[in-house]
Amino acid sequence: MQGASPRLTGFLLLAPALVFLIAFYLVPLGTMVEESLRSAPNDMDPRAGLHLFQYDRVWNSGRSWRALERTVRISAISTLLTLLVAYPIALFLFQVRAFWRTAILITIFVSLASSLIVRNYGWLVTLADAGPVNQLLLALGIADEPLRMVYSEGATIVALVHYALPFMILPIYGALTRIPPSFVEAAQSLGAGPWRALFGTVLPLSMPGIFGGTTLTFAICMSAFVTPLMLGSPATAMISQVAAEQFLVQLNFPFGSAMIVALTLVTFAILLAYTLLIRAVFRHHA
Amino acid sequence: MARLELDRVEVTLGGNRILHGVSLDVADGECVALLGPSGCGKTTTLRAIAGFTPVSAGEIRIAGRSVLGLPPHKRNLGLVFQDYALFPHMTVAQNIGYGLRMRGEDRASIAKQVAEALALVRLSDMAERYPARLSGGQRQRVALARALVIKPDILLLDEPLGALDRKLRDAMQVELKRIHREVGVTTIIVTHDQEEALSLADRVAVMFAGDIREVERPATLYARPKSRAVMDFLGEANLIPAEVTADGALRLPGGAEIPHGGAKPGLVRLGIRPEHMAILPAPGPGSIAACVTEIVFKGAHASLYAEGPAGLALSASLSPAALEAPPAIGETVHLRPDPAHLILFEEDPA
Ligand SMILES: Nc1ncnc2c1ncn2[C@@H]1O[C@H](COP(=O)(O)OP(=O)(O)OP(=O)(O)O)[C@@H](O)[C@H]1O
Ligand SMILES: [Mg+2]
Repeated sequence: MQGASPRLTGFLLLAPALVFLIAFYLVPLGTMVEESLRSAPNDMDPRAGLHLFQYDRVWNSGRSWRALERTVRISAISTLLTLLVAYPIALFLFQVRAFWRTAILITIFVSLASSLIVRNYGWLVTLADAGPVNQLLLALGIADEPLRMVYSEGATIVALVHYALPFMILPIYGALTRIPPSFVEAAQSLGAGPWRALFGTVLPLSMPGIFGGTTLTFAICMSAFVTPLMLGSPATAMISQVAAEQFLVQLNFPFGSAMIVALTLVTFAILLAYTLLIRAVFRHHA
Repeated sequence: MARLELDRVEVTLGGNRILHGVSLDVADGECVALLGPSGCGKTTTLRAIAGFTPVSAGEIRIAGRSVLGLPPHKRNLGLVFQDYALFPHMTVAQNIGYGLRMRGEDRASIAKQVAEALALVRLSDMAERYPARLSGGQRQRVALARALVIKPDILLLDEPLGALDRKLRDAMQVELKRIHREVGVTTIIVTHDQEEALSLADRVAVMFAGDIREVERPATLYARPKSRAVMDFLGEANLIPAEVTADGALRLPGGAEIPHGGAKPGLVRLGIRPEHMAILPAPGPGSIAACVTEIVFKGAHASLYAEGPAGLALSASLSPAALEAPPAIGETVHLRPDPAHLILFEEDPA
């Protein structure tokens, strides 16, 4: 390698990863984009060449548009709920003694490794008509008859929150560990009680973690497939399910591809807007 | 503004006793520097006063009342942290106003006090800046203004100038002195820079290994320290083993004797500052022969280092005039301690 420029060396080191990315990510994506610009054989009026007909359908057919809208809504609600559940856990993790911290972190990693199907099945059982949650509600007299909780948007959201929790907790915990303790102490010395010191300084300073966690969670929820399939119903289908139906049942690859590309674009657009907003609000941070 | 009393304060952290009964009495409006080597417990003392570190025994009183039962936010202390801890998401004015907002003061009164505090630290034109866009010295002043604006009973500063370069540090020392004079708040300043301690404080408390060894006015502490450790820690010092003879003279290494009354016969240590060592070309009464090992130029003066009998390390100050024709390395000189500035310490039991 004598005489090789550092740039060439760097490129050669990156090459395997680049090849992998191109072969398994960019090529299928490109194929899908191209597919989405064509007509399917069973379209009413098949046309040759590339056109935007499938996108027109995504926007104008009631089912796919509603599914896309629902996907954004479910993802936004799930992200917000995940944040609300994850933040106290991350704070606890940050404050607790080393032994407990390790125990909780291991639990989180184990849950990441366990099968999504198994976890969703767990929620199906838990939220079932005769499941423990309903039994508790009946026993406490909160409900007179078992509530229908499974196969709904709500059940989907609960399971999505559960699934996304580690992706929210870890970045927030990471951001908390980077806040120098002197900030909280400075707030306290200036007369802020523990809670006000927390909300006045820790919360704003953990913003990078909140931003990372919400971005990850939102992207994960937008592309969710198994969870809404198991815990929702056809009436609460998310866009990935509707697209899968086109791929697997209708065998309409162009229409399915257009939905996936539309999903990708919408996700990207929302996250871009979110990033710009956060940047504008927190532009003064060092 | 108030008097601060530490009464045999003990702190234990992680099973280790960090403070072994620290006692200190700071008068109303006084500025005391806590000086000591790294790890001796200066920050721990400050944190105990502020309420961030639990005290296992002893008492801390502010204005005569115990504060041990009070959480940090109720102690009404102004703290300046070594890293300043300015809130990055707030402007300079918002940072300074934070403590007043926590006290529920109204907007107009906050604005007025913030403006006054900014004027005090001479940063009036920086009110709307964010900390990320300030220089180190400016951040330091914002931190000071933020701590002072709440009219604290005690101002606690932990290595406030540690992060600044030499020149800025000198300028800020002058600023700190001016501000302390104008505000007159009881102040404790932690530092391991002895020049800073000697120049800023009304009294200096020297701390070693969790103990305050001596509390004195700077000039007294430097000229007449009570212990050998303090003499050695503060500035440069010669510590010469000597013997008090039966007829009341001091026998120096090498055999020379100087008359000295009042000490019990036995082994002693003589403490003497380099500036009180005369450098003679030929042996004189009470001089010690030594071989020059190094001459170091230090700006206002120069230091001569030499090796006396039995490997004894000695140092002396060279005046600018003497530096014109300094002794050569390896040359033998004769160093004579000025009897008027000799301090006698008991020899440590070997
Ligand atoms: N949380 C802690 N748990 C256990 N030991 C600690 C803790 N904090 C500090 N110490 C120990 O207490 C001793 C005193 O620490 P302290 O920070 O007060 O020193 P310092 O005098 O401020 O030193 P420096 O000049 O380096 O800042 C040190 O030996 C340190 O290791
Ligand atoms: Mg310290």
